[in-house]
Amino acid sequence: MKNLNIISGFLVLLLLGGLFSCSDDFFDVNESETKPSNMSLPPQQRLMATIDNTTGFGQSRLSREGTVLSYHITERTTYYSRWRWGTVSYAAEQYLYTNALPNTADLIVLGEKYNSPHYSAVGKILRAYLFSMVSDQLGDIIMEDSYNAKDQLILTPKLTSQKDAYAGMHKLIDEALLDFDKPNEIDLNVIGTDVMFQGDITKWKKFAWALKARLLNHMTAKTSGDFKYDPAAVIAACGKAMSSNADNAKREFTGEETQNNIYPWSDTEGGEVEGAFDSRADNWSKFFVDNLKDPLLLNNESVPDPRLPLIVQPALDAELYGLTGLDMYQGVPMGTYRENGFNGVKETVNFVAGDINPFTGEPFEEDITIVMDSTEYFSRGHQYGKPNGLFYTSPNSDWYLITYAECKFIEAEANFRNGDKAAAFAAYKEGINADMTNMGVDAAEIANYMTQVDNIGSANITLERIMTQKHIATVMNPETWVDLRRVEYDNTFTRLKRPQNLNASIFPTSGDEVDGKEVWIRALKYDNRNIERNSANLPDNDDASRFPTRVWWNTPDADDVVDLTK
Amino acid sequence: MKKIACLALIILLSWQISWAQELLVKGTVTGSDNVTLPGVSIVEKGTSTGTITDIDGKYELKAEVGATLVFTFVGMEPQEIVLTGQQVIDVVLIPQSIGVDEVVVTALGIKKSKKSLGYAVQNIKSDELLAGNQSNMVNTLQGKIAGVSISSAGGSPGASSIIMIRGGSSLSGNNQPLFIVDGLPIDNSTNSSSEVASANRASDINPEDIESISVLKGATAAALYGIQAAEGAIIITTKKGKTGEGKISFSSTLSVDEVIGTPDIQNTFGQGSYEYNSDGDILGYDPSPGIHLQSWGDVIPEGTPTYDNISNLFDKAVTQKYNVNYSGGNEQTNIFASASYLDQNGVIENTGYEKLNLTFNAQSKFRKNLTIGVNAKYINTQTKSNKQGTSSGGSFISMLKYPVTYDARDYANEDGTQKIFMDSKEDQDFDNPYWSLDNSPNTDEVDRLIGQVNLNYKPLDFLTISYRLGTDYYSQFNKKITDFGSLIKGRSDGYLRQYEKTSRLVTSTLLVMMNKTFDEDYSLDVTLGHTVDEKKTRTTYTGGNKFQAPDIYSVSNIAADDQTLSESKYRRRSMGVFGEAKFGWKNIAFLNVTGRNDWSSTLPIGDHSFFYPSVGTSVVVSDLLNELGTDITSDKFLSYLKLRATWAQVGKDASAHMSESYLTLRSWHYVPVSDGYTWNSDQAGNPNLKPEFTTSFEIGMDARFLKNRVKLDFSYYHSLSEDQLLNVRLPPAAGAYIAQLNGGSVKNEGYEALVNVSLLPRSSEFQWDMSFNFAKMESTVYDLPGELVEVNNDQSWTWNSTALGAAVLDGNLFGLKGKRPKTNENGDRIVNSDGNYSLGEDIFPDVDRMPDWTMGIINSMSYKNFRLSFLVDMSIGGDVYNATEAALTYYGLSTTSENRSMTETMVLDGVMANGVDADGNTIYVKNTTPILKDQKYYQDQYSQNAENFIEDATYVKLRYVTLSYNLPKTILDKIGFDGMEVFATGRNLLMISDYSGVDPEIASFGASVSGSGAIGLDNLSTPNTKGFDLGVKINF
Repeated sequence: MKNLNIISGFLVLLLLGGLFSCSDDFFDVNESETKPSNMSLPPQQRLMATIDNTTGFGQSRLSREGTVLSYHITERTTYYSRWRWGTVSYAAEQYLYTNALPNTADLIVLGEKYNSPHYSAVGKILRAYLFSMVSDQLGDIIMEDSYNAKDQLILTPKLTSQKDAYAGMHKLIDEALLDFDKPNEIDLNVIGTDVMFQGDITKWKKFAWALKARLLNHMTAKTSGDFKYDPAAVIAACGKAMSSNADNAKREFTGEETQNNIYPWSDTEGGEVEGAFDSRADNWSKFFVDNLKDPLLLNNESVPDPRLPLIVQPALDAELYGLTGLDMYQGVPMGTYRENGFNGVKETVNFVAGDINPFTGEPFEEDITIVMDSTEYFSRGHQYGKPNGLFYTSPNSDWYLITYAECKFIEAEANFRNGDKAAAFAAYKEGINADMTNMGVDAAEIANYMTQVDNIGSANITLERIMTQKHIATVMNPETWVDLRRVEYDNTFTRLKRPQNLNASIFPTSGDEVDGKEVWIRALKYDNRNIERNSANLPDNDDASRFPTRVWWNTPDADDVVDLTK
Repeated sequence: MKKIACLALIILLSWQISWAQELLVKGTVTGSDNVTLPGVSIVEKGTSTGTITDIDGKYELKAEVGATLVFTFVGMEPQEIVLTGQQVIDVVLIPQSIGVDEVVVTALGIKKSKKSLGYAVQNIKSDELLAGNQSNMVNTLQGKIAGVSISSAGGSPGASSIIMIRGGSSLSGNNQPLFIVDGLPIDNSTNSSSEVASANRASDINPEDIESISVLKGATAAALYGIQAAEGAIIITTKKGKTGEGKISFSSTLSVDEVIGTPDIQNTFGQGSYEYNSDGDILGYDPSPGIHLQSWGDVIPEGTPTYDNISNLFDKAVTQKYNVNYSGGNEQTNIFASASYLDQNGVIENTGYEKLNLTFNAQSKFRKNLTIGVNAKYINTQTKSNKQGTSSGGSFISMLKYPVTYDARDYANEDGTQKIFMDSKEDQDFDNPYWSLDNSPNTDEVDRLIGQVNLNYKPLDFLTISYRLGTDYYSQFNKKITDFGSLIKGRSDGYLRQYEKTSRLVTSTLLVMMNKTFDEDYSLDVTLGHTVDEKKTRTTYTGGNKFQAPDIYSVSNIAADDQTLSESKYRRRSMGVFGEAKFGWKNIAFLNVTGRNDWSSTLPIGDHSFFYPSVGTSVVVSDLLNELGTDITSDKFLSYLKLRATWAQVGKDASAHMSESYLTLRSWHYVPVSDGYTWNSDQAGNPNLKPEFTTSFEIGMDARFLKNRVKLDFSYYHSLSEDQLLNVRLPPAAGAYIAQLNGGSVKNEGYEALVNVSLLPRSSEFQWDMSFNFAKMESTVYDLPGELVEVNNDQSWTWNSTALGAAVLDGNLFGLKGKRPKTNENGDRIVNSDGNYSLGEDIFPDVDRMPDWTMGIINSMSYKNFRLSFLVDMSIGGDVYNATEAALTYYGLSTTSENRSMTETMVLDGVMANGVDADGNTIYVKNTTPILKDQKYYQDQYSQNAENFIEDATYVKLRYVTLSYNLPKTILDKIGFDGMEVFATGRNLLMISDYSGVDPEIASFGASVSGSGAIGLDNLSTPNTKGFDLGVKINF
């Protein structure tokens, strides 16, 4: 019997082992022990990265191309050929979709999960903001089929038309505004991660309304249909948006020597601060600098903008060339820069008549192409200033999403289009004042400047004057390119010219799909990786079919327009 | 299913247990090779009472003195023993002739008569394994098993080998079989580092400890193992102590190795570069050392010494191997103990591999029917490697940068610093390989313990219960150093990367086996089982970039701000419940049914259970016809014929930690990012993963001819792995770059034939046995999800990203992707206006890195005390990608690049765009633009175009020749040994191949690359070696 006891004991042990291993808990070991999952952290721990990826991966990455399209900056290397309006892959889209948007999707779901709808609201606003930026560059976008934090990722996501995308963005904003009024358990800034508004719900709401005003104002071409341009609605939305610079939607950088605290546009080539963002920007554009020299379109430079020296650096070798006064500030005409980038030993540089010869300091009398050694070219210095180091481009500059000033210019435009010049002029003035104040321009200087503005008078307010000031106030914001397209480039901006050296087969001098005139760039290409892996769901991505093709809001009417992207 | 598992145990408990009351005769039945034989029939002559042996070949029987016991087993000569009162009778059965029938180890270590199997299993014994004297256990199988391919990562000591059975079926997962040692699954992983050669962990097992290896080819044979055995299983049985007088066996081998060869290099042109003006026209040579480190200079004046720096890097290397073991035991207890030490020097100085194995196996009997066994192996390996491939500091790649007129051995200044032969340190930007070997060691140390306890209980003569609990535990410390004085950018103050890893695999297996014979004609074997396993690993990575004090290569010697630190953990648990039933009729026809249900932690809870079955049959046609009255066998032709078929399904779970998306704390240099946790776009999880299934079908025939002197095993198989668990590259707009999902199918088809011939009758004094193993297989990618046209593993990018291994849709699983000229709609190569091809990344639909067919021919001859064996291995067809040659060409060293000129032109074959037609389509005209065959062409075009480096991988090799001599008994008696053998082996002595590189049998990235992997990619690894061994084996 002794035998039997031992044997029974043995079997009982096995049985216990078997029962233990039958339990579901036994298999519950698939979560990581070293990393949190997308649903395992409370929303406050995700808020900062959601905001930072919206500005960092989203807007700043988009504006790397955008600043050239918006005529603020000329590019540093022609590998990107943006002054030829881009004939290469456009990678911003992928960063926005893979880094910025998924965090907003998580935040929306986490807000619901933790009974804290304020987080969902922030997720929705930032999501709408991101979708609007990418849609304004591409037109139809992947929207509904992108990651939503609820379903499995979709291998072949389908496009959402821009019209539906706009409806979706408005819906997100409307929901967000409702979410802010719901009972909320976890305060937005409970652990200090609301790096945008420090938990101020009112400011978040104003930001939401400002975004709404911006989106409504994009519809200026629509004369009928669901999205018919409605100036009153734009003005009403502006009324609920930012009411002072204190409400500006911005991300502040401290400029400390860690990547997270350095403003993305603070340096080129990562030279001064290790690891700083490579802005790929060389110089401010001639159009932009000239605007700052004659911002009120008075056709003289006697009323220079006090913001000019706060934004633009004087020529590196101003003294050498004998440049003084306003001449110290030079912008580079679009499309006239170096041709070969840094790779070739020799650089081909195209100068137009009037450009300063970097070697003599004298202006060229006629258009000329010079082949020169790039290192020599740069070591000798030239008449252009560095783009970095001032108000918008220092390591501790602020990053703006939407400002009070922009709202005022939106309001000015809507009033102008509505025929109310007085209201338009008032908003125009307030916009200028707000931007100057925000930049810290001396009060007396502002007052002096405002006298000049008053001299124009409301009768003489024009769309060009409004949009010129807006171009200055929204510097480097991707929104500026939207404006340029909406006001039909040189139809409104009389000083604007197409870049030189354009690829004529893509941008012929006539044949625009709406007015038959010069063809300007109207949209960007979808990211190559999206095309390669999802071609069945994306339209033809040729340069010739993408670049000159207007996005939906840039076509005259809402519903009767052939979808040229398909 | 949860209940079924538990129920099985309850049934066991309530089993009626009866106790024998009489004295028994008992013993063990083995074959002449000492392998125990289960299922041997023992009948008392003239009666119908009898029994059969159990799984371990043991039996017990009641009988009276004077009775005659008849031991019969298929394929063996029957043996009769008259009982004279002895209670223990161990019987050794002698085979009727070669391989008439064998007992083979099948899934879960269950020994079965091969006759009853519905699938192919190939068994290989100790002496066959040791022939060829390989120190990596996996390589011992090379050329010996039909359908098994083995490729090593090169000749570095401790380099990994990839083993694949019947090709592969997984697009991005593991294609290697499961390794089982004495019933316990062991880890065969390989570090995923292409920087240094890394061992595959199965190589830790000492080949000398192995009694036999059984290869279960694919799902049909391995269905009972489930999840991890979709690619087959390698079942290793180690040596056990034998009853009787204790025996000590000692062996020692001394080997000398050298590389098979090194690539041919040109000796015409020396140091320098061409100089071009701004229009790209050649101005002439720039002979100044300057920044020109390559061999694109002027013709070397006669009398100038030149150096083959690559060849000079390699030297002869000596390996010593010692092995001693003890085997002994009595009725109650058997033990086996062994110690073995291997000290291998690398063919590159300062590299080497040391391995110590200690093994202890013991079985002991408690009372009558309980056997307890323990089994423990301790392994210590220490590897010292050079950097390889295209990694910073790689020995081979660095050598290419030296012009043929420069002797790389002359590298040190008097103070020990490196000589700069270019303009500046910054220009040189690489380390001299000799300096690296002295100053930048890469070490790896592993301590491993594989141990198990097993119990075998036989309460009834037809019932056996066995339980096994074991663990495979190892800790690894891997360290890579670059010393002060490195010329590599960012490493001049020293560089350290190291990790410590602990890995633990625990497996518990319970088996209940019943066998019963009814009416003599019918038999039923039932096996029920339950298994649980857990794998846990933890790896801590530390490192940094600046040593503070000299000569201390510790992370503690790096300032806190310069240190890097991270940790990763892995956990996986699974459980399986399985059963097998085998019905037999008159030992002629068999039907086998299995079923298994698995639960895995890697699948979403609630959906983590899955079931799969198999069914197989085997019919001995010759016996069946005999039974029906027709004897088709004859001494002059057919002796035996068996037909078999099996259909099986095997499930596979996901990789661990894939059902959720994990956040990351990212530092990213493009844009300012947050300190907070953010979505990880590089790898999204998937909460909806489903298990993957492989469905296989196999038919086969076993036939013997001419009194069993010729034996033929033939198999045809087909398998389909569907809805694979795949790491897929998504369109970024989906929200991530890579996500795991189900999709993609691979079809696998092939034939195998194994022919054994005894050229001379067994009675002859001279014996010559030949064994041919032939295999032909094809793995085709049948379907891929979304718009994917290929699945690749980007760890296998070869030099300068010219190509990588890729599984290509509607093409080969072992295909290729790489840079090649773009083509127009007609397939013509497009030439740019400058006369050069426009290169782009594309798939190569026709490239197959697996051979069309392979054959190994093993010859074993014996005459008196001499034995000679040799293996001829042939691999016909298939492609190899020679990235080594591409790199040689780039640096102006390859013989191809010797054909250069600054004046002669040529015209590339292709078409050039010439305007558009009325419909807007591009018009192409034949290219006529001449280009120079100059440095620019070779560097920018020729060496970058992967088409130029795809070569036929066909080879025939004499893999080994071994001659051994057993000292005759007369001499042995004088010196007091029981046996002594001396042997000499030559390895890789001959190769016939058109391959322009060193050896087409190469997988430079080794076993660390999964999926379609690294097979057939020759990428600057240490060439394979050849060598001679002298050895002695002594038995006391």
